[in-house]
Amino acid sequence: MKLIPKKDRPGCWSNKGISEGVMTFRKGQKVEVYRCSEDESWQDYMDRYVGLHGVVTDPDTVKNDPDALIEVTLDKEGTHRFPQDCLRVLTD
Amino acid sequence: MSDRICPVADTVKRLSDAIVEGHLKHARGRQLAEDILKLTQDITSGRGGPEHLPAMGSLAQRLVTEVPDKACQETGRWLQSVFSEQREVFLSHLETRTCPDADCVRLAPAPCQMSCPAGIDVPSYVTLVGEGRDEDAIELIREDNPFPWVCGLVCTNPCEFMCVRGRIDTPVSIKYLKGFAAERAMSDRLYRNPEKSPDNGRKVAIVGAGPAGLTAAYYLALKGYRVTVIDALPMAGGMMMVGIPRYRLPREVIDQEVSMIEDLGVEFRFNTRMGKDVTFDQLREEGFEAFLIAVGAHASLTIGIPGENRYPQVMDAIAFLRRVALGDRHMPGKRVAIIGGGNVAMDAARTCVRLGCHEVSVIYRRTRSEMPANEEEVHQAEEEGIRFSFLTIPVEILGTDDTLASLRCMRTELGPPDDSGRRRPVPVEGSDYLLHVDAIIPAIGQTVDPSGLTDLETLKWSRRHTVGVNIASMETSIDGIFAAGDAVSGPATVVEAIGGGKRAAGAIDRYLCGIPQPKMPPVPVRRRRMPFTQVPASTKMSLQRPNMPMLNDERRRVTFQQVELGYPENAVREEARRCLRCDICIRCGRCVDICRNKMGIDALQMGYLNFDHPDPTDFRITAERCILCGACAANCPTGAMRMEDSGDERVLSLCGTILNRLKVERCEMCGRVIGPERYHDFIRKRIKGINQHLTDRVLCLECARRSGIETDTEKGPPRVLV
Repeated sequence: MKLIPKKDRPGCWSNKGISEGVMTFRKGQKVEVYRCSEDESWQDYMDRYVGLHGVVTDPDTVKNDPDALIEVTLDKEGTHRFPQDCLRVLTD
Repeated sequence: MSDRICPVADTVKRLSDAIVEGHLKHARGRQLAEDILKLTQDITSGRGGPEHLPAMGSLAQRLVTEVPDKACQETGRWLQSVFSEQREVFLSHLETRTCPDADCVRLAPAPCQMSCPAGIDVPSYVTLVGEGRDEDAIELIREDNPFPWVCGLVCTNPCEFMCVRGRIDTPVSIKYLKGFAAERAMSDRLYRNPEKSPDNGRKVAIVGAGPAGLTAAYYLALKGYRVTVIDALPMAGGMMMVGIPRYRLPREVIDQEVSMIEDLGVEFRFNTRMGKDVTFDQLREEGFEAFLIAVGAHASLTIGIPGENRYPQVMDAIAFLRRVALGDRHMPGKRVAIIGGGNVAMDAARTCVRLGCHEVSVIYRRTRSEMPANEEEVHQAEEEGIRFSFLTIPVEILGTDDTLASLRCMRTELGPPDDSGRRRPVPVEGSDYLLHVDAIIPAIGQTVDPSGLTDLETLKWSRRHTVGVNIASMETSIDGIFAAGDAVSGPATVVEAIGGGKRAAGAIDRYLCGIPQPKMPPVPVRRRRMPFTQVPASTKMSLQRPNMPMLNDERRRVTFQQVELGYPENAVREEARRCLRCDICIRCGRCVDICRNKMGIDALQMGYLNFDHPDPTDFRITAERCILCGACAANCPTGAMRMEDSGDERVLSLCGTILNRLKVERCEMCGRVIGPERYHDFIRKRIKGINQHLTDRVLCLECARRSGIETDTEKGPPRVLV
């Protein structure tokens, strides 16, 4: 999948115009925040989390919805809710 | 190493000392100093923004000009000079979030604490529980979370997913330890509120008495605010009370913890609907200066199939659970179908069983492995006799007149992965069948009910129909109005709502004090360093996570009695000893590296240090190989690895886990304690090729020298050099 660098945020990549890389996440999966999201829930301070690894601690427990924000605990950066398109699974 | 101390860290230390030691006696001056301290701490923890330094300068100026107290004025002048002379250093901290002197490096909390949305200092309270100090553990937990008992029963325990012990065998049972400590502290009448600040006369209104609203109320009341909580329900607790069934969370637990909050002077207005019984304008007229919207997500989503709105026997899960929580014990029907595969669906299904329903079926469109409900909830539901129909979708609800008769369902199969990687359920043509039911309970998700907030015309909403906020400060688009909990996140967890409520309380306090908001959500920070509990390596490795005793199946099917019965006391104390104290050991691996690569001994088998790919761990191996040279302890940056002499023994321990223990030898001449024999043998082997004059005498360095002078040096060095 090709990503487009964002001019205003060095190190962050846009997926605009590219098919969404959404998938179902499970509790306990190791994931990586591998890019910024275009989703409105992505806030500026989250830029610094790109590249960090963490564990899914609360996936969507209601609908299994690819659009739901899921809770991820980042190693050394606390727990945050992320849109799923900025995450990829490292291991199961 | 340089003696220079970072000016930012130094400012925090000196200002804290001045406040704590009571040098600043003038109340206004002390308040200003506390505000400056808060902002400086933001900088040391990487949370500062460009407004911080000007705001700090302005507060220091006010300390000099507005406070008629000499000590306060001197402090103000000192701060002004620091901010001016060290301006570049402060700016560098703000811009790079780095402290070149390493004094402001954020203390690294343990992974369990980092994962907790409320930021509870887990290793410290687990240590206290292990020592039997339950009331101290609860006091510590309540610094970050006013609901330790509730969370001890229903938390989704993200801490356990990050628990480093899980990389060795199984995570420490953190949640149940907390539940035990809270129950014991309450039972011993030692569950107490901390001392609150004096009344500051300022009023804050909180809309919603759920976990977020009550948490904010607790922390604001502790800061001296007059807090009023408004709720449409007749009781406090919100979704904890009407969304979580009693067999998971007894009402008494919520009531007891809410009453502790009420004891702080928090006022409740129940049966009061925002927008109907009271408006924001009316509250402003009453003198409320800030508001928190914590209304939760109590509206259910609809399934959108024919017949859904036609029959009274079709009721959404949230309304059903609320009805039962408020005392209704009538079964919805003999045969009930629950639609959905999430936690709410499991709660509704298990509640139906307890109300006496004969057949309870859960209809879910995907497979079991894709159910979003917690695994243990699904397992317990199966134990209670609930039937699951996977790969099934509801198509139509059928009946006659006003009476429901059946649910037409269709089988599905999972198609190939689509562009998104998900295998979507595809209906199988001709597979439809009728499921005869007396009631249907859709449980396919919740959303925020905006009806009470319509008079806030400029309130920004997200596309997910939640209140839009700045997550770092929980500020909404309207000045003075904050939001937290499910109203912001959508349906989430109790502990996440608690974390949001705490963050909102801090932000409201800043707002009312006129100081800038942080730019990032707070990262949990360590507040204390508890002494280690000594545990032998063999015990550390052999202790196993206990199984939770459960209520028997028969009773579970007929009563709302708590299903998880709690650990016995001895299991709790032992379980706490499994904790690795990751608040002290930062898993840098320096000890392993030195032992293996520098000393060539390889006595530390600690594969758990690798986050992504943990290898086997066995603390007992150390005793077989370790020579107690102390290189690991000497190079440990946090003091986690220690080597200490105790009587005739030298002991190596990692965060209290005793890795090796060997008898030390004494100097033949002066009797001074020197190293263990294994270490001496190691040194002898190493220097054997270099020095051919080793003797068998056991001498300390000093006596060896003296002996060397007194006798012929050709006799060679002594056996021991320590």
